[in-house]
Amino acid sequence: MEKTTRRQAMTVAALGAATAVAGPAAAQTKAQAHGGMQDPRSKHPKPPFPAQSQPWPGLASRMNPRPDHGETSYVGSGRLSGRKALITGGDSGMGRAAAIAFAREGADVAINYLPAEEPDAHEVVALIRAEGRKAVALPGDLRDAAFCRGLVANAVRELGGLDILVSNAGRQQSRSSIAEVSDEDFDATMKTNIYAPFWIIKAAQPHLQPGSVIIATTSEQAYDPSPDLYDYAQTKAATMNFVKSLAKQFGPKGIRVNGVAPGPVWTPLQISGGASEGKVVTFGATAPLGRPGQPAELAGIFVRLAEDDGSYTTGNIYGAGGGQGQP
Amino acid sequence: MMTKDHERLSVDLRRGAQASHLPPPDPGMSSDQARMLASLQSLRGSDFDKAYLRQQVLAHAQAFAVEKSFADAGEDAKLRKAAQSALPVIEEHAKTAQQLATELGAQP
Repeated sequence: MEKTTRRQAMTVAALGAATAVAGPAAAQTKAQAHGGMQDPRSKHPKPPFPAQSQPWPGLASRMNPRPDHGETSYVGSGRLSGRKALITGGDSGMGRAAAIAFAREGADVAINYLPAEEPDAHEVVALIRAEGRKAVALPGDLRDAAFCRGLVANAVRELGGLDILVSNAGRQQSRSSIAEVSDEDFDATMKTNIYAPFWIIKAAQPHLQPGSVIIATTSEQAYDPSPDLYDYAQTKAATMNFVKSLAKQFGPKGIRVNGVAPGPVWTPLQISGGASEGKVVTFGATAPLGRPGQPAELAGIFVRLAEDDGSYTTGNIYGAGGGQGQP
Repeated sequence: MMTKDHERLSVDLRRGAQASHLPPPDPGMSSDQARMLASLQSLRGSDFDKAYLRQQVLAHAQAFAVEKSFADAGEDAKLRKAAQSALPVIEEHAKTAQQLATELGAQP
């Protein structure tokens, strides 16, 4: 009986407030769980989007339209009660959607983000606390090994442990040719997307008890890269690959490792250089569903991979591509 | 109209690039454009028409945004001029595409 209720709660439909602006947590009404069905084509905004750009890393709160991270729609049912999660890139995008969902499912959550993203992070912290959960804000630049090690130590100390690690922070900058990828560009992408996950996972592993999970954000770019994302795309392929090697390494330790591979998702990554100016306008148009995904549409995947119920899924990649791409 | 106007815009752009001693633009489509073309190839009849028009509305919105951004802030004066003169043409095409799309019920 309990299982059925949980599954019903899983099929949450947004209350037609999918494009609602997310205000401070205190001003929101509690979302109501119900089943039902919506047309996925019109459930969220379609292109063309207004031309827009922000300096890296960009804020979700300044995007037009604002991304939907599930603020008014995600309903939890105790699927992650008592869990302790660290999420990198937890201020916006899929990391934010995961942070909100995890808190609503009963977990305490620490988020890492760049200091410039403080306004977004502030909202996420408030949303976590509104659920009566512990929120820990750990800003800082992941491109530094010492910072990454300190990040894990601080998260473990503040949360009183750690059993969910979401390695999601990423740097994506569109460059139409390799000739335009500077040494600094390449280094920044590698440090953020490959080195930081290495440092963080290595630091976290001794703290992860059997039953713990690691979830890494990869991308459809890992399987079919865009020509203007030469450096970013290869890091997503690397991520997809390390999910599988670490799943083999950690399986005997009882720690599961999985990946999430989105198609085009409407996040600050795209409007701060991740997509070219023109591409922002038509972002997601190539997807058979005719629009980009919203972060809220991936929250359930992160919860699925973190919860105990998914105990045989490890070394796997879950996609959400709107009909295009792999996996 | 589309073929004539787009040919003229391409010629203008090439001339502008030559005058500023810049390499001509690469021919060929972006991977997004290739994907959109591929999705048209499996369609017939009014499905094709609607998809084509939806794509044209999007493509022109994109072209307008890119040209405007360059017209406002592009580094090269001759290419800025080419972009500025392209804007009204693109806007006209965008309006026509939008009109046709609405008439055919192509915008859900």
